[in-house]
Amino acid sequence: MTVSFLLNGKSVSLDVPPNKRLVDVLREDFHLEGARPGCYAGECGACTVFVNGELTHSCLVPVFAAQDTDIITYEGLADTQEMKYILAGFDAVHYHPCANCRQSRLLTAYALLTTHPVPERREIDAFFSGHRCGCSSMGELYTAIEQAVDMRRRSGRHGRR
Amino acid sequence: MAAASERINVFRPRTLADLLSLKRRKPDVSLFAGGTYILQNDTGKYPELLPAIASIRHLDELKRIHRTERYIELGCCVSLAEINRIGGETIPDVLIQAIRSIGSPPVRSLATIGGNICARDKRLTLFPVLLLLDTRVELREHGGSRWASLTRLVDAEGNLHISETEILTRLRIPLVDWNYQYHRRLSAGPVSDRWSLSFCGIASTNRGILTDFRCIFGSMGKVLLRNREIEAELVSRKVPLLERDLSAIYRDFEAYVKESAPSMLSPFQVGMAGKMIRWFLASLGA
Repeated sequence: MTVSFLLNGKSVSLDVPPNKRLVDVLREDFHLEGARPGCYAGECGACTVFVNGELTHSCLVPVFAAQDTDIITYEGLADTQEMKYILAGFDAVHYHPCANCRQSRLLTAYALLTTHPVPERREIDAFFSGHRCGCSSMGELYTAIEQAVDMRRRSGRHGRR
Repeated sequence: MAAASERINVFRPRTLADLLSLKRRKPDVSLFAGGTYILQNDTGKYPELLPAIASIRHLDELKRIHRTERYIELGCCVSLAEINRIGGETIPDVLIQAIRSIGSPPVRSLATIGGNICARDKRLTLFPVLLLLDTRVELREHGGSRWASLTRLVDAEGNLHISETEILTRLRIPLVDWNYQYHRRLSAGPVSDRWSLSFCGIASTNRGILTDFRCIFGSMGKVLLRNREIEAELVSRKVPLLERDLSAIYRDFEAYVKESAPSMLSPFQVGMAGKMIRWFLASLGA
């Protein structure tokens, strides 16, 4: 079937089996490899993308359900200033999640800091509860997020409750 | 692993009227809203879907929320994330507690309230909670609609009964000031029915007297345990309950659980159910 949607701001259309998962469509048909197939059960969080502005596990979306939606992947936000602060914050405290979940964690951090400019730890916990990879600890994650907030604050952008 | 399938026929009705008309012409079409339950249970590269599917998530008529002083109405395609955002000020807090126990935020952004109660083979987390809150549901078909109590949707074995031409479109939840609202879910996995247990308890008190009390257990399988006799016995008692009353209720409840679902609940579930009801009763008025 033919499915059309907005992908990183561009209108796209493709002919694809309706039961193909969105994560596979992004990787195999559009070569956007930030979202990774992990558990195919919506538990590991490696395939996280934005669908209509909401963080979503793309392995739980058959492509027919993506019709007319607005999808943003890590690649669509990699060059934004917000993502640069997050990357800088992660690097500054040497927080390096594994290759399988790195981009999805960055995307989740982006969603967190967009809605909670100075997040509390329980808000960090809530946003990252969809990530099950054991490659890094929550303590490291708190430090990295706090560092990103600090860097953004020092640059004079947002950062006040 | 199932192969990529071109045999799947996907319909995309533009309005609710289109959907009802489609359901009349093709009663075997299955509805697909969030799809989280289906896809979490089929982890193949190409999940096996039914041959005829109607995608309904985009229908605005099914995503409406309407509140009056007496009740709140939720369209069946309102996502759990949306209900969570509205919060416990507007929606019974016990429902919010139950929603927060389901999956993670990205899962809740997909999952819908209608999908949670319409799973064919299991009564998922929200069903017992909505049952306890006296929720009514609107069932529509081409040319007519009816409201039914949620209890009427399931038979004694826990099987869901919605006619093939009907669609569950709205839920109406009465708004009552419950003094005590508590939901707890123990789970070893999203759909493990031997090791999962959910407890929901709500109660109202007035000047130290219990004026209403309800509690229910779900197992993430078909088992729902609610004993209205025990509930009725507790009404008009003074709270906090005395230790000897607590022990007596606990014994009654244990006997009821063993009698009503002896082979359907694991010893773990029976043991945890007893502990949770005892804790909830002890917390009233404390």
